[in-house]
Amino acid sequence: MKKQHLHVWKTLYKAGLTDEPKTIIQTENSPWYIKTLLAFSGWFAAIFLLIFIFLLIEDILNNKDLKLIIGCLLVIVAGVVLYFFSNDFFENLALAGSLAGQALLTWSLSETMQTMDFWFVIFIFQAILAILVSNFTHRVLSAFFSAGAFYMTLNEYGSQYSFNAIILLSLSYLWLNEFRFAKHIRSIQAVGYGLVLSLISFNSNVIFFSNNLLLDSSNGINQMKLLLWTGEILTSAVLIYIIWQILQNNQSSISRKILISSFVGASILGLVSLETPGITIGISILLIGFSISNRILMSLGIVALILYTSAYYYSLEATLLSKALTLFILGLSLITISYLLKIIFPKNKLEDEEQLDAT
Amino acid sequence: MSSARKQIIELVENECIPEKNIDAALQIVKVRPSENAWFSFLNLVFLWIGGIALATSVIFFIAYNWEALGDFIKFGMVQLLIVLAIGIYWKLESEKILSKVALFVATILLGVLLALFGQTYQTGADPWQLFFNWALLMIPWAMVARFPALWILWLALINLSIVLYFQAFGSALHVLFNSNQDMLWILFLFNILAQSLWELFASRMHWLNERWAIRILGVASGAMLTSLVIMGLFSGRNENLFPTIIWFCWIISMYLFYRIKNLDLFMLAGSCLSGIIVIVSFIIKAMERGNWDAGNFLFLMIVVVALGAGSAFWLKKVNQEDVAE
Repeated sequence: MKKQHLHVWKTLYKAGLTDEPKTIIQTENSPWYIKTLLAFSGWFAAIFLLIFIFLLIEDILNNKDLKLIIGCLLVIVAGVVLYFFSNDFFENLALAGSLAGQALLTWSLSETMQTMDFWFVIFIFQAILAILVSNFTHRVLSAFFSAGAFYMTLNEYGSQYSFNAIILLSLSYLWLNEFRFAKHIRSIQAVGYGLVLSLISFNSNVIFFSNNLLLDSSNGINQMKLLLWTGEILTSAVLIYIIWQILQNNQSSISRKILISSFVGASILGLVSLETPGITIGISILLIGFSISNRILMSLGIVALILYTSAYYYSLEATLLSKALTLFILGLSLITISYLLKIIFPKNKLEDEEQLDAT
Repeated sequence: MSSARKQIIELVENECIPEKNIDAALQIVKVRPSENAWFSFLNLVFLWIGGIALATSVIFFIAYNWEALGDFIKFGMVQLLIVLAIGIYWKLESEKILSKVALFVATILLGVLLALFGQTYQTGADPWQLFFNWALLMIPWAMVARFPALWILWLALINLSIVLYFQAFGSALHVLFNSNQDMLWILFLFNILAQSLWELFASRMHWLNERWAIRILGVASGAMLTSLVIMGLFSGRNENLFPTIIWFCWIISMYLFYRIKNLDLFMLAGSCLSGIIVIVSFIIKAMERGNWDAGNFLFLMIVVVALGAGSAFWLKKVNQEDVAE
């Protein structure tokens, strides 16, 4: 057993939760910035590959069948390479090939299909890639694109406001149950990250979209606001599910007081988020990240909160006075809750350092 | 050593922990936080978000009632809030989180006060002077608080002042630099100096040893210098020699410091990314002299893939060596 596993294994062995050490097969566990570097260079290379294909096969620009065939071939070959080779060079090459192939395929389909069908097909196609292709970075990207295509599909049906709740529900289920699927834990993490990134990216777009619609009031401001509120209520319901799931996972260490306090807190946040869209999502990602000691998720949650707060500043649906009032109520509520926590749980002490060790 | 979370993931993947024991294992090694940890976390989150929401609500309220409020009331409100925030910091110093939040809020309100001053008295000051004076006035608080986030705010204000200065006055330093990239040079020099000083003092002052802050400075200085090299290459005025020399020195320094002296994979990864961008840019520049055909782009693709894979391989090797130690 490797030295770095000994510390945790010893603790578990003493507690009777594990037997004699087995051989640890060292799996791919490089930090996120190395994966980001690979993803970036894959992107970059894919652009050059696409230009190469366009220059080599002059007819391809006008021939959608040729685009489709070459796109499919590139994706299939890339998938096979990723399955059989775990070498960095081939991984990067396959990533570039797959991205280029997906771009060609998408372009071809966009020329042949109706918009509604097109986005649905892309959503399914990217979801299949996220499941089948056995590479972490590729899975993250496929999950991201799949969620993006899902958003566009909902947009075609006028249901884009349900996007947040559906994606948040999916990613929270994956992250809060990641340890239940031992052999597929890395795949679940990859898809989870892709969904989080898509949620943060596309939710900003939803907020901007609602601003634009409200400027053009020919549809009736009330109808748009109602849709926005529906989306936020659904998201708040997902937040309650997240809290419930966290409490289920921590049954032995969470008291009844925490249970009640959590649901009250979630309800207050849900109410406030009707006027400040996106805050619930940021808080949800932060909560999920903390519940599984995942610093990357926690950082993404903080980034999301900063983005949505900035978007709120530019929101045109409310005057400065109502924004000031909403923020004042939010600020006062949260500080009051913090104060009440100390009254409800007087014996609790700060455990910052112990928890940081786990992350 | 890798974190408890990473260790337990590998143990779970290799089926070293029976499925029925996984939940208990996660509790014992604190991957799933205890009730106390949840309490601390929620306390932190509520105080930070609540504090910033209150400060922002004040800003919005003042902006809304701008025309109706008299000068005395405007100044009085903001100054009262600053005093209140500082009072909270002074009174509750033992309760670290709330005191830091209060001081951060006070610093933001200081900026609001300066903006209010500039607007009320129409001093004719340029925008860069607002942010510069804000940065100057907050120095004593930053020194007393010993709080990295305040120093990052200070650095951000100075960066913004530099950008706004150059927007107002254009390139005023042609005496020192023979290029249109004066602003980027000043930003690069300032941020690299800040990064160097931070690393120097971090070894002596524990509270400064926050990798996230140093990495922000690393990203800022790296981005500036990489941009300077690319702009020098493609500006059409053959101004790439000096930036390229500085870039080489920077890459070597990053390697020596963050590989040998004080291992930081993030900084090394950033340097690799900068290297890929610069090398590919040089190749594109060299190819500009000839004809562009399909083969050029195939070559570029292979170069990018090889450099990316090579960087990842090296970084993973360094990571493995560090973990094994």
